[in-house]
Amino acid sequence: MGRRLAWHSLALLAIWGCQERLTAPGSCPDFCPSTLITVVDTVIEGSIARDSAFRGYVSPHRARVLQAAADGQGLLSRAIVRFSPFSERIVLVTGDTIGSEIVAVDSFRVQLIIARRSDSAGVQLALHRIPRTVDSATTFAELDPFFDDSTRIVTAEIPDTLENQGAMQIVLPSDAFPAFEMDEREVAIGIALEAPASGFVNLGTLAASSPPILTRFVQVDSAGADTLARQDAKQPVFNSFVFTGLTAPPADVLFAGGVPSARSILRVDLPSSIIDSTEIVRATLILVPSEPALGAPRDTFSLRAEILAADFGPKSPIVPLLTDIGSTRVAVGTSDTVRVDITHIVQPWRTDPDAPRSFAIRVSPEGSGLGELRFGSSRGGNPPALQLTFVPLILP
Amino acid sequence: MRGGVAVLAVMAATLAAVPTSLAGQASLYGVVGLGLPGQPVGPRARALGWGLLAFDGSSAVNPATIGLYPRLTVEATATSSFRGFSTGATSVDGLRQTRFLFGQVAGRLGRSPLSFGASFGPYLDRTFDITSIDTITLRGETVEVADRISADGGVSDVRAALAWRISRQLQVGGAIHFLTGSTRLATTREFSDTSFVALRDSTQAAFQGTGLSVGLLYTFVPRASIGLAFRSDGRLKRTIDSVETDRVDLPISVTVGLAVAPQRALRWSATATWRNWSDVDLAGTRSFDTWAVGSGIELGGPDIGASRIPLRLGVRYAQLPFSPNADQPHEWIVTVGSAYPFASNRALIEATLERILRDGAGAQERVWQLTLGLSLIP
Repeated sequence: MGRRLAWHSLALLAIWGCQERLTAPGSCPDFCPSTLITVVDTVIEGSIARDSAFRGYVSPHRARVLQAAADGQGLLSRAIVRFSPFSERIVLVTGDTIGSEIVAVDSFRVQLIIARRSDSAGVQLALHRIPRTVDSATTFAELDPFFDDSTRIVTAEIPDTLENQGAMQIVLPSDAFPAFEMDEREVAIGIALEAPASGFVNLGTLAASSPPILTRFVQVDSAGADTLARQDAKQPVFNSFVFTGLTAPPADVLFAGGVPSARSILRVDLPSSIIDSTEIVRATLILVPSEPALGAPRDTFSLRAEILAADFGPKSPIVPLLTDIGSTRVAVGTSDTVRVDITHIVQPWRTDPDAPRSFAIRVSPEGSGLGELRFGSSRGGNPPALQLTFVPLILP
Repeated sequence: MRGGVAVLAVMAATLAAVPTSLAGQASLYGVVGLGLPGQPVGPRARALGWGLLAFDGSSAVNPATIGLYPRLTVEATATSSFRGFSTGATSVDGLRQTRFLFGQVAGRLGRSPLSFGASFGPYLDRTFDITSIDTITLRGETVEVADRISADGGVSDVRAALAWRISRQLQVGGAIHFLTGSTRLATTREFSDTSFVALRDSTQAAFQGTGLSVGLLYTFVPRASIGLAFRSDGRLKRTIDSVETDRVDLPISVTVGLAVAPQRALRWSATATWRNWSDVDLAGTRSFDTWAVGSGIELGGPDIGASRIPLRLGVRYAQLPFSPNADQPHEWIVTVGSAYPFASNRALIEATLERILRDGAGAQERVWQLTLGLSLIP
């Protein structure tokens, strides 16, 4: 009898042990432990202890866009492209090492990928002949004489219906390049914004795998009888853009963006009482522009705070992120305070004391245009500040 | 021998089946202050409305009661509670919890008049799991927040007691108490504005403290005894990550009881306890001294001859020490219980059913609590 009861008790106890349900809604404020959670929001002045800015990360000839822009007030940017030389003969059959003789050039066609443009209607591009000697050292001033009516090849209007990343085809006459043969069939073109007087067009590049393509349409001798129409195409060996109208920043300001692209490295000095004993739920970097944001009129650019794997100054490696976290869009011409979310940078500092207490500010993607923000530094007026929202350690 | 195997099986099942944490009962009132005070009370004393508290060896309150054990005895108690509460517009039912409540080893030291006891049980319980939705203003905007805060654990009372049976009428005892334990507080707050990262925090605090208790049992006339116990606990030290964060004064306790057996098969007992919790200084919480008075009767029992299976009835009134406002909560408990001896009276299963009615501070809590105890004489 006792043994049987013992086993029954065992079964009963086993059932009991499996049951647990504690979750219940709280009754605030009297019986509500949420009062344990105190949220503090504060702007910490002087939290950026040191800062510096460096330029030269992405040059225009390695940029992901070629920006043709004008603001009607002195800012001008023009794209320049030098294509691979065409061959003297044209290969019609695979394996033909000699090729066929070209009887005549019918025309050329330039394909441009319109990565982005200002939203005004009737945007026109003017294509000019420029020296085939252009390279990364070529300046705006050196090329400026080649952007006049005498060098104009054609003016083309971008269809209003063309979407971003759409392809635009521009046909050039056969005499578009009078020195074609003399220049050993190597050509270079400059692309300027013709209209409106204020706007921009971003064109695809080699770096973005969407370069301009120049196609040659020719007639080929067909064994003494009729000629055959054939074509061949060339990609650029060099593409870039040159600009004028932007001055160098003062020494006591920080800057990010522009071309060649610039980054600012900010070193943070937060009290350990905040880093170690609180949970930061939102951290915002506050930047006060020292002048209106620079760049092509009506353009915007993405300003982004980046995690640094280590703080080596200008060569600090950036930890790549797959998401768009920590970025904000800045409109060219604005003088408003810029706020960048840096929660993803600050939050890990509590658990990783070896993580560098610094981060980079840059435009993303770098070299994507003239867009540049210049803002106050710790050496000048209006230094960057942090606005933190945090929850102090909750004691059981 | 076979009975002994069954007894050991039940003992093992008791320890294995219940959750490993040692704590008292979860309660709405445990959200406030230090939590809900728990006492290491065995099923028999519970069934008698805690009226036997000053006389019960299975309750680690009066160390003199250790002298009641003629032989080495092992005891374990587990409890399951089924709970609901209402406060304001909030009403909840169907909460349940099972806990290993109390364990003790006690016996006589050889043929000497000395007895020893080692036990562990609850001192403070801070187990809850609360969800809530609220709105707060952040950066000038109204943001909805959804919180979930759960705490598990508490402070346990580990007691080493010694009793001296001076005579058949008088025995005295003393004990040292080690208060130890930990609480893990898990906090989650999610913001409707996703630019605020969800808060997910978990903090574990360890508690340490010591206390001393003394007591006596005196049979002043045949079939009538009084029990007295006095306990003083020091300060409870809280450490987080090995860093002491604060200390809290703990109360002294005075327990007085009277037990009368007008007939051999009928016993009546009553116990009152006072604790000065008001000395506990906690921000945002009102602390009160507490009185607890309980009484019960027991009919029959294993050693009585009238019936091997006793019937136990009791009622208890107790004040609770912590409140969010000026209204001190209290509880009424009505109890019924019994016991079943087996294995040639070397083992005893005890069961107690309690109906607990807690009121005060703008809330009501209703609890059914079932306590099972197992005593073994190896």
